Amino acid sequence: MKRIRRSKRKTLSRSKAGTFFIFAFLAVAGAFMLLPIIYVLVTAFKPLNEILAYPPKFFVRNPTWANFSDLIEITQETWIPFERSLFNSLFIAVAGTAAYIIIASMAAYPLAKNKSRYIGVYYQIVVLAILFRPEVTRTPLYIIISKLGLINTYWSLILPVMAGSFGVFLMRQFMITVPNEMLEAARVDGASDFVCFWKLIMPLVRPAWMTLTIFTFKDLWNTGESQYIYEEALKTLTAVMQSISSAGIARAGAGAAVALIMMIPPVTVFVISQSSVMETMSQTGIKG
Amino acid sequence: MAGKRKKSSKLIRRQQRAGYLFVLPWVIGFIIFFLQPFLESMWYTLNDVTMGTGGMETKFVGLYNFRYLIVEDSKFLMNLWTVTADMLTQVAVCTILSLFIAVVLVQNFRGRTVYRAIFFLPIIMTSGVVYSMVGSVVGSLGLSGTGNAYMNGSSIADLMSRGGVSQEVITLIMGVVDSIYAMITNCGVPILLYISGLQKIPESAYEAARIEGAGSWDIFWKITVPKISPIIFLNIVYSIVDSCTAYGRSADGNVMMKAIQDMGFGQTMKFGMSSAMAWLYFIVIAFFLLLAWLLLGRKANKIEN
Repeated sequence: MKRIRRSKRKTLSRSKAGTFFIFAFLAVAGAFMLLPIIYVLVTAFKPLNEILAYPPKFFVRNPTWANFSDLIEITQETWIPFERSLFNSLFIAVAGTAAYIIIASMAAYPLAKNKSRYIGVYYQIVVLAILFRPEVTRTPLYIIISKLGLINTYWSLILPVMAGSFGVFLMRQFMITVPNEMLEAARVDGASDFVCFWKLIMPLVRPAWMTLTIFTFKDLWNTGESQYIYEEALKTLTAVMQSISSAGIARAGAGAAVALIMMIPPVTVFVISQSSVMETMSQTGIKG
Repeated sequence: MAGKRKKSSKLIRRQQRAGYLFVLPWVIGFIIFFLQPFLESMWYTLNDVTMGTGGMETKFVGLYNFRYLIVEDSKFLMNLWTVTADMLTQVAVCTILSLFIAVVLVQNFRGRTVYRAIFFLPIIMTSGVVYSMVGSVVGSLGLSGTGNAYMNGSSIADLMSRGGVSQEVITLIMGVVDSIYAMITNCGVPILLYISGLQKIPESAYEAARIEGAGSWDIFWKITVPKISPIIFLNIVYSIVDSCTAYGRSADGNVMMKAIQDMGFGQTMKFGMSSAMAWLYFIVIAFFLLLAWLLLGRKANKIEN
C-alpha cells in the first residue's frame, strides 16, 4: 500500500480500510481484465503444438518467433505487398478519425452553445440517429454508395462514418459543461464564432475529443472485409489478416500472431491520447 | 433603445448563421449516408423486397410485415423481451459501477494510467473484426464462453470437471464469471467518459466544499454528481445503444440484431421483413431513450443554461 500516494488535490477524506478495499477491488478487477490480453500476448509466441495442446496451458513453455515468420511467409505469397495493405488501413483510420473529430465537433458546438429555435429539434434527431447502426441501413446504403461511384475507393469506407451521430452527441455533452461566461467574455473581446470554437472550446474539451479519437480510430481500424471494396490492392490490412486467421487450424500459429499485431495500433492510440490528456490537465490552468 | 435592440437581434442572427455553417458538413453527410438509406429502409418495411435477376424488386404489401412479426412470429416478441431485460441490467450496472471506478481512477496515485489502460483495453479487443481474431484466441481461455476456433468447450471448465467438480457447479461458476467479465467490459467506455468529465471539475469547487466542512459523501452527491450529470446522461444513452445494437455476429452481440441480420442477409434475404423488424425494435429502444431523457436529460441540460 505504500506505493499508493494519496493525492492532496482530489482525494476525498476516507478511512484507511476504505482505501484498501477500493484498491483491492481495482486490483482484482484489473487482473481480470488483463488476463485475456496477456493470453493473446503469450499465445503469439507459442509453437503450434502448444497452441493446439488440450487442455491448453496459459503460459508459453518454449517461446518462438515461428508464428511471425509464418505470417511473413503467408503475406509474401499474395500479390499485394504487406506495406500496401498497411497503408490502406492506416490512411483510412487516420484520415477518417481526423475528419470526423473536426466535423462532429463543429456540429456539436451550436448544439451546446447556440440558442436558436431549431436547436431542440436538431438535438433530438442527433440522439435518435445514434440508435441506427450501419448494419440496419446496409442494403440501401450500398445502393447509394454505388450510385455515387464510390465503390472501390477509400471514400466508401470513410464517408459513411462521417454521418455518425454518437460523436456529435458526445462532444455536445462535454461542450455544455464549458461555462457560458467564458464564451461571453471572449465574444465581448471581439472573438468570432470560429475563433471561440477553435481557440476556446476545443482546447477546453480536449479530453472529450481525445476520447472520441480512440473510439473512431478503433472503429475504422476494425474495417475489415467490406462489400464496397473488391479490388485486392485497396483492401485493408484488417481484411487481409481476417482471411489469414480464418483459414483454419493449419494457420492457427499465424492467427495468434495476427491477433497480437492487430491489437497494437488501437492500443498505441489509446496510450498516446490518454497520457496527453493528463499532461494538458496538469500543465494548463484549465482546471481552475 | 430601439437601436440597441436592433443591434442585439443582428448579433443573434449572425450567431445563428454561423451556427448553420458549423453544422453544415455533418448535416450533408448525415443526409446522404444516413437519412436517405434510413428512409429507404422505412419504405422497405411496407414491401416484400427480393433480389431478382434485374436487381432489387419491391412489391407493396402494406402492413403485412409488421402484422406477421407481432402476431405470427413467436420468436420476435420473446427476443424483444430478452434484449430489453439485458439492456436495463447493463444500463443500471454500468452507470453506477463505472462512476465508482472512474472516481477512484481520477485520483492522483502512481500507476493510474496503467489502471485506466487496463479497464479500457478489453474494449479494443471485444468489438468488431479484431475481436473475431483476438476472440478466437481468448475463447480458448474459457472466459466469456465465446466460440472458439481451435477446440471445443472451455478449458477452465474442463479442468474443473477433471478435478471432480460437479457439472452444475461448473455451469454456475462459469455463468457468474462470464457475466462479471461482460459487465466490466461493457463499462470500459463509460469509465473513460466519466474520467474525461471528472477531470473538468475545477478543484476550487471541492476546496470550497471542504472549507464549508462537507464530508466526502456530501461532496460526491452535491458536487461531483451534479457537475457531471451531462456525462451521466451521455453514459446512459451510450449503454442503451451499446446494449441494443451490439453487433449480431460477434459472440456478445444481441439476439435481436442477429435476427435482423439473418432475416435480411442470411439465406432468407427478406429485406422488407428485416427492415420491419429493425423499425419495430427501433421504436422500442427510442421509448427507453425518451424515458431516460424525461427523467434525466432535461435536468442535465439545465446545468449551464
